[in-house]
Amino acid sequence: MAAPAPQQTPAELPTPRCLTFDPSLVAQPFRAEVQATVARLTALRSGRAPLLVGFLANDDASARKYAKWTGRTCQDLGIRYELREVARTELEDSIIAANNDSEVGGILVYCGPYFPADVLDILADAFAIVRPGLWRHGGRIPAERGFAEKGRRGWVCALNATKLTSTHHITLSIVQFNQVYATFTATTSITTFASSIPRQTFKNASYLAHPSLLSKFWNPSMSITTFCPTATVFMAE
Amino acid sequence: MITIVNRSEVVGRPLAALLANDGARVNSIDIGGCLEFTRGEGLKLRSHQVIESNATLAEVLPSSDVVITGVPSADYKLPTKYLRPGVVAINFSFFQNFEDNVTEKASIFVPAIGKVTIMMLARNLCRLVDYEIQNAAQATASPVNGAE
Repeated sequence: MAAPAPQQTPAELPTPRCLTFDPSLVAQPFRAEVQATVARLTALRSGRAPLLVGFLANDDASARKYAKWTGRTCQDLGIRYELREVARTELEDSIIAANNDSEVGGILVYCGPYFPADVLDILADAFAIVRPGLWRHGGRIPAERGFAEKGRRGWVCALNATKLTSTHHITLSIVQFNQVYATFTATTSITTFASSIPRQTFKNASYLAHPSLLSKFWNPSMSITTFCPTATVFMAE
Repeated sequence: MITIVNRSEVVGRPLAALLANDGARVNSIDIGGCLEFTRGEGLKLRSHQVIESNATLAEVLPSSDVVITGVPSADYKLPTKYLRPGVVAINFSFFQNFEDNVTEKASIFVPAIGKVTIMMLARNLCRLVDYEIQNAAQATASPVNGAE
């Protein structure tokens, strides 16, 4: 390449080049934070680290690989991780059982590729079944209980179910490859957003909700900048 | 203008909608063709509208400032030659959807997001367990808190 004329290209001008993001660098600051939190929680729970349960109900190699990566990351972070391989037909019951197990802090379902949408619906229904149980566990009867009882099905129901409980905090993520299909969380902040809770509370929940939550019930007027109070999506439904 | 190659219910479609609501003109492309997500001329609409489009990838890529891919196939490679110089290229698929030479055109390239996803998952888990502990403590402190 011919040297450019000096008056046109000052030497201090950097050569344009592509900045390639290393996702592990993006994750890095959170790693320290999560590790510290896990350590604190483990100490608080007399040595029992938070438990994440992953369900693998297919033979897909990529799903298995992803399950393995999750396990590795969990190990690195000090999180207990259990991969439970179940038959496709037992997935629903297994999820319900894990959901009712107070030791389980979170549940993942590895769907594999081309996970049929109707299976997602079945899982959603599974949570609709779980819902009454969660209510029995939860102390408060939330205001929107009637709303949920009107036979609404699908993820909204499932989310209502999990968010209503005050004793069980469960996150359910439907995962394909490195994509989280949907993450259900039951947290104090989400639990209480229905009443006149200051917006502040939502901010707390922003990281709890994955954008993919929107998959089934996003509000058409939502945008990423208004995304933080994810819970409003559910209210809008 | 943004192009998203994937219109799954999980990421592609909500992402297109979110970005369109934020004011972007989004070409949402999947195997069946292209849909445009937009708030219209001058962002007059309050929320986005989905418009049928006949545009092809080759037509929309040269004017796309951001290109996001999520094609679940090892064979799929988005042709770098169509990309606008300086494009921001983001791949969220398990597979590498961009050609190796994408870095010659892109100003920013995000080859994968999985590690961040898992980290956020771990973070969620921590928060949940944390809330559970806090709730248990609260319940002990005030046992009145609602028997059903």
